[in-house]
Amino acid sequence: MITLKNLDFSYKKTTVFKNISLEFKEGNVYGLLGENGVGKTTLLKLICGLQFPNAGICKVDDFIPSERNPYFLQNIFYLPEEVITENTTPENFINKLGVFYPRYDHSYFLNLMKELEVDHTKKFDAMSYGQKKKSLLACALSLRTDYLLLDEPTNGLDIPSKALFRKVILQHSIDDVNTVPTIIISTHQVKDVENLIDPIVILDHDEVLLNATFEEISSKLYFDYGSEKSDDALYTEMIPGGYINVLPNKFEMESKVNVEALFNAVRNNKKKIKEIFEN
Amino acid sequence: MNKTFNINRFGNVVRRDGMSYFSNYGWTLVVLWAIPVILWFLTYISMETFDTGVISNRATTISTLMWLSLMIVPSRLYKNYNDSRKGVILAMTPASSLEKFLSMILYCVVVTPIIYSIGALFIDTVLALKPGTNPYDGFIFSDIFSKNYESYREMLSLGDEELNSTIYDYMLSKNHFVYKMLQILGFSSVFMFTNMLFKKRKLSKTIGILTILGIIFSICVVRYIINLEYNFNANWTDEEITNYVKGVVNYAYNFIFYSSLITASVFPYFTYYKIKKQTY
Repeated sequence: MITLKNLDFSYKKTTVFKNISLEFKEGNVYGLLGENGVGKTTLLKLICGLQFPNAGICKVDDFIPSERNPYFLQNIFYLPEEVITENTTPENFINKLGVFYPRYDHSYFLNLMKELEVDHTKKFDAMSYGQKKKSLLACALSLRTDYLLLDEPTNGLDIPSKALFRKVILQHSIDDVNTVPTIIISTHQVKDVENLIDPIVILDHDEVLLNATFEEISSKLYFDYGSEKSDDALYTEMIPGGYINVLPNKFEMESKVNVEALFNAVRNNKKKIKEIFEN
Repeated sequence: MNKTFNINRFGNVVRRDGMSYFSNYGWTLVVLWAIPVILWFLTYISMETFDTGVISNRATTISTLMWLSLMIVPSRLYKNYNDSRKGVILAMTPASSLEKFLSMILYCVVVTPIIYSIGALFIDTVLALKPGTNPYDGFIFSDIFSKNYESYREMLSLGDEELNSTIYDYMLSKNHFVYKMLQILGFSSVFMFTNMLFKKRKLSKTIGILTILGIIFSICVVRYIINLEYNFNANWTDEEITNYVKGVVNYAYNFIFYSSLITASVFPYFTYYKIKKQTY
């Protein structure tokens, strides 16, 4: 489990997090959402020990990430939005990296490369941005770490690649070969990961606005897909054929969560959403 | 569970760094190996005019280039260690900071001078073997591994041959293996640390700083030499001159020894600390 407690972090004079507390439970695929600059990448870096908190606690299982204990690093992998590697092939890259990870699975890597339709013997410099991204995703998944942090993994992927991405992540998250991994996907392209992520964490400047499962969200909020705007709605958005209204779920009705509408509802009603979810 | 040092993990780091060694540093080595060849060629075409092929020059050239290889290697092999984007994979590698640091020491302080020196000596030997007209007369192995400070002899003109020889032997006795190793470690450590400290133009910034320090140091040395000449008495006996010069030599060697010792202790620690605390 990843635990952040009363965490403060700032880049010189710019405060990113002030006294935030958050938990990521094992075996889930978390969606980490937030506007540009709220600190999604910074949060991932704090979790994997690339940045150190100014105050508070950041723990992954029993490890303090900032200590960079090798046994901790064996169980976590962070895939940045833009990975710059030396100009080698994915095969050579993973051969160098895989020896450090006790559960690294080479045949799984080859399968993933095949599934993601990338040639593992082609050099990175000869690949398109999307191919490179898919190769590195295959590398990251084949290390079979308990924690996998993906920063904007769908950026630069074409539509079929996004579908492949969802497929491999879903397979990986339900894989029973090892313990079920905890995956955190930081993105602002919510539609790419809508059917993949659960729970959802929404970050704002200095604070966590929401950390809830789809079940909790649908029990607290009602997503009304109708032809009219609702006056009581926390957020309303025009969609083809009508409107989507996000309302407090006063009558415990079931509805399908729309992540984009949820995000905007949370962003526009920070206090109210907090109140709803705290009750 | 040893989180600080594990021989298998260390082996993996060494293996990983080794796999990148020639791709990152190979061309630099080739250029550094090519310099003695170019010098040989220049000597060859100008040998009728100048006597430039003496062993001491060749040994000094190789020795200088070896030091140059030590200067360059950290910024070629480990240039990305403090890069906020490129360094992420290196920082996340499941090995301790000590293991990563020791591997850096291994390649920068041990492997590079050995590889460069062996290669350069081999090239020099091949050049010396050229039949017919050849500016290189004889091999430099004996010179490198024993009395490699022939140039000192040329510098010494303190009196008769016997006095020169006494001082020269005294200098050689000081120039022992540990002393040289300490110098290499101290010298490399400075470049390893600045490689971790500076994000861009690592080598030029380091050379710039060292040049400024060198100028300040030279001014101090010149003042010291002026003072020495003032104390020097023309009526001294050979024994008095020998003791006086030995004292000066001893002072110089002790200065270099202790400054190397301090650099070789402090800068590796700073480098290790930077690896441990580097954020991305």
